Amino acid sequence: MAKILLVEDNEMNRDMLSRRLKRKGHVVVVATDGAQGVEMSLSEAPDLILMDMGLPVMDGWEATSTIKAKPETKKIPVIALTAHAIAGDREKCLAAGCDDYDTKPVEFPRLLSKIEALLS
Amino acid sequence: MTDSTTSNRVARFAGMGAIAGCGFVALAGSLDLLATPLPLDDLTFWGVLAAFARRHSQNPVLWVVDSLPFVFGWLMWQWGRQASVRATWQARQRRTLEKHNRALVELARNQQFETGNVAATLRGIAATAARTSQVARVSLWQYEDDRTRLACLEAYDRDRDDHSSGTVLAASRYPDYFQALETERYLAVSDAIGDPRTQRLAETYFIPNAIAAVLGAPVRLGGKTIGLVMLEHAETPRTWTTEEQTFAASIADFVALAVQTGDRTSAEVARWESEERFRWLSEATFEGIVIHADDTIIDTNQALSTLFGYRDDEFLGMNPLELFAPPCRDLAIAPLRSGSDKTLELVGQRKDGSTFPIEIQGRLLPYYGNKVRVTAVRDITERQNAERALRQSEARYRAISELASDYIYAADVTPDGNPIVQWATQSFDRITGYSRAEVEAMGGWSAVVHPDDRDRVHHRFTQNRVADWEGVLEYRIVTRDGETRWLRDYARPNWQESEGDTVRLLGAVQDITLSKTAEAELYRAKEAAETANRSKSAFLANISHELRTPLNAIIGYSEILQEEAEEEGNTTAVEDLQKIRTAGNFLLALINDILDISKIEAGKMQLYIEAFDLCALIEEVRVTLEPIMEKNGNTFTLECDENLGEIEADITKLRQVLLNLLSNAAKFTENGNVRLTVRRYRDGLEGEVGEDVDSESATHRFGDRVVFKVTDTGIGMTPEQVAHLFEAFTQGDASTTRKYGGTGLGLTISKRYCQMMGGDIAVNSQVDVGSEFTIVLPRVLPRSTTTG
Repeated sequence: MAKILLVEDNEMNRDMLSRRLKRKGHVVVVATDGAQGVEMSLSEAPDLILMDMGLPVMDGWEATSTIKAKPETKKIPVIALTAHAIAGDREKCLAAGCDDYDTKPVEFPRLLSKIEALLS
Repeated sequence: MTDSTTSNRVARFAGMGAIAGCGFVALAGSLDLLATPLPLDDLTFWGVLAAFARRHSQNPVLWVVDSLPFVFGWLMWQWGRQASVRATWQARQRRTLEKHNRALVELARNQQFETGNVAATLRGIAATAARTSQVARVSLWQYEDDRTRLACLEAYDRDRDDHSSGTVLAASRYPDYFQALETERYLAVSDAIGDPRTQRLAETYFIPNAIAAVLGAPVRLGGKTIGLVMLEHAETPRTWTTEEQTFAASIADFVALAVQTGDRTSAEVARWESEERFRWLSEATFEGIVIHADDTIIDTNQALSTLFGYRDDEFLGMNPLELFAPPCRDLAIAPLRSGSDKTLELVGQRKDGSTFPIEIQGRLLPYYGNKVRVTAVRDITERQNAERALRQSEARYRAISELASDYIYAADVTPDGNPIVQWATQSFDRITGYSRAEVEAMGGWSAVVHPDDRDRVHHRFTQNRVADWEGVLEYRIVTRDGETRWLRDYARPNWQESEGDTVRLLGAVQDITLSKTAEAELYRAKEAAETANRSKSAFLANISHELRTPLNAIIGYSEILQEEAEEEGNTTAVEDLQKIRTAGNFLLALINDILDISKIEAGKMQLYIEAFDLCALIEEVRVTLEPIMEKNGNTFTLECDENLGEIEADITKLRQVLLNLLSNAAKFTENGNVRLTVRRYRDGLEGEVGEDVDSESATHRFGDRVVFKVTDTGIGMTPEQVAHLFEAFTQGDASTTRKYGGTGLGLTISKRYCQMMGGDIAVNSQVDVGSEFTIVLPRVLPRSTTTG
């Protein structure tokens, strides 16, 4: 089982996703904005980060670049979560250093398989 | 009678007298012998002779008797000579008369009288008279100017056989001569130079012409002396015989006849010529001409026949009123009868009864001594048409001028670029508020132009620019009321009317204030609309986000609850939660579709073209669709070329299109088959999508392309359904939506996506048999269509 950092400002999404991940046996820590996400990626040293892109204080792209720029955190895989599949977001996310990309609303089984793929 | 016959005759007379005398002597001797017989003693010749001698001595009377034969012979000779002389004179006289008569007969036969050529006739008369009367010259004179002058019409010189004319004698200079001509029956002058009557003419006329004696006879015509015939004898004075005087008189008569004939002939020729001219003129004219006396046509011309369709001879005797249509005959009566030469427009009636507009005009004219009316008839159909056309065109022009909101003008552009309006139609005043004269008084058109536009207008009107200007200029003017109006000025130079250093400009001006205002408002409205549209797009983006967030929560929590319910074994809750999820997912799909279509319609949908492996995508689609296929008991067949390779397209959108078509096929097919075939073509026509394909994508139909076919054995569609299939928010029909669900936007979005990617979708369907959707996409997307 892995420790997953979920960076998500929306409370309901955060709650839903963390509950479902916990029920699958993962340890979930949450951050509510990009800056906190960067901070916690250091302090919590998660196995994987689920990063929402539209975040306050620091957006997901900047946060991901920051994380990927730091030697301590650069190896942590990041899955970007964006609102409805806006064309170009994927490229943008990958350019920012994300390892994978999924759209919201989250199709949980698909997300799980992507998480498992990155953790294995 | 010759001289020899005359002397023979005289000798015969003398002989006859001598014989008669001898006879008388013999008779007297016999009687004497009877009375006193002669003593015949000696009967010899000498004896008898002696006896007679004795007797004569006895009676001396016998000597007298014996002389009688001589006396008688002499007397007879004398008488015979006298008779002979008289006979000779009479014969000569007779010859002269005969000669005169022959000459006169010849003259009378002279055909020159007929020709009316007076000069030639007079020449003949003078020559004949001179030759006949054996005089040196014959001259013919005519009184002129109230008998104060005599002009020589003809003078013939016999010796030289020469005709001349032209001498003029004035009464004032030769009063005696003129006096004598007035008073005397004949002017027989034996000695022209010595005679007091003609003496004054000697120096000027007789001596130069070597004239010695003259015989003048007056030429009378109609009881008036009109001239003079003059026989002129040369060299020596002579007397004039009565015959000669008579002859001169006869010549004078011939001269009178010639003059008269000449006059008459000239008059006849003149009349003939005038008639001929009239006929010629009347035939030459296009006007019909009717000559009529009161109610009867006497003569017409060819044009009248042409106009009215009658033959020439049919007109004769007709009432001229019949040439007019019955309604206007009353009008025609007065002018036809009067001498008025006013024109009158009437309606003519042809022989066939058809009518046409005519104009008549006439006057009274003398015609063979009578007053007749000559009426000219003109066909004025064309003129009336032309007049009507002109009136219409004038009315039209007036209407245009009065009603048109625009105005037309002509202006002379001065060298400094100021147009001076020369004339303009009515709206000029209405638009500018000024009259043309007022604008001119203000200094020309530039004074009216809005100060802000003045430089621009002036620049444009400057002559070297006007010269090649055929264009439109929009500018503002300030009207008399101080109102600003926008004008659109179409103008072109008119070189025909340009003079000197001004250029004549012909133009039309339209008041476009309203449209300018509207244009400004439209611009503002457009700006507002664009702003609103941007706001709308932003709003849509926001609202869809705002809609999705709670929806995501609904779907997400229902999933969590469903999972928990499954773990707890609460089947009822699982089913209910599944319904919430399904409804939520449908609503989400609908929102997504609406957002897509909005973006497409707003032209904001963007493509993200990348090269990707087509087989991988198809496999992904297959996996995704498997549960949906199973749901309706359908089998799914995939036929795919092995070497499809990569395609350049927007993978997200292609995935969406394929999923849409295949899930549709699965949805409308039960216990059937859904087949996807994917083939790559490099050229040729295989895999045609059909006629729906628009021409823009046609270039790709024949090139390197990929063709997807989605075939089902489902319910199919009617042609009507097919026709509206790709229109937004339509489905087969309302019942379809109820039964099968769906937003009705899927196919619209799919088609638009395919078109954006340089391809297209076509459909082929049959009710109860199934449908076949064909997608053609270029394998490599042309650069120009990378954005939608």
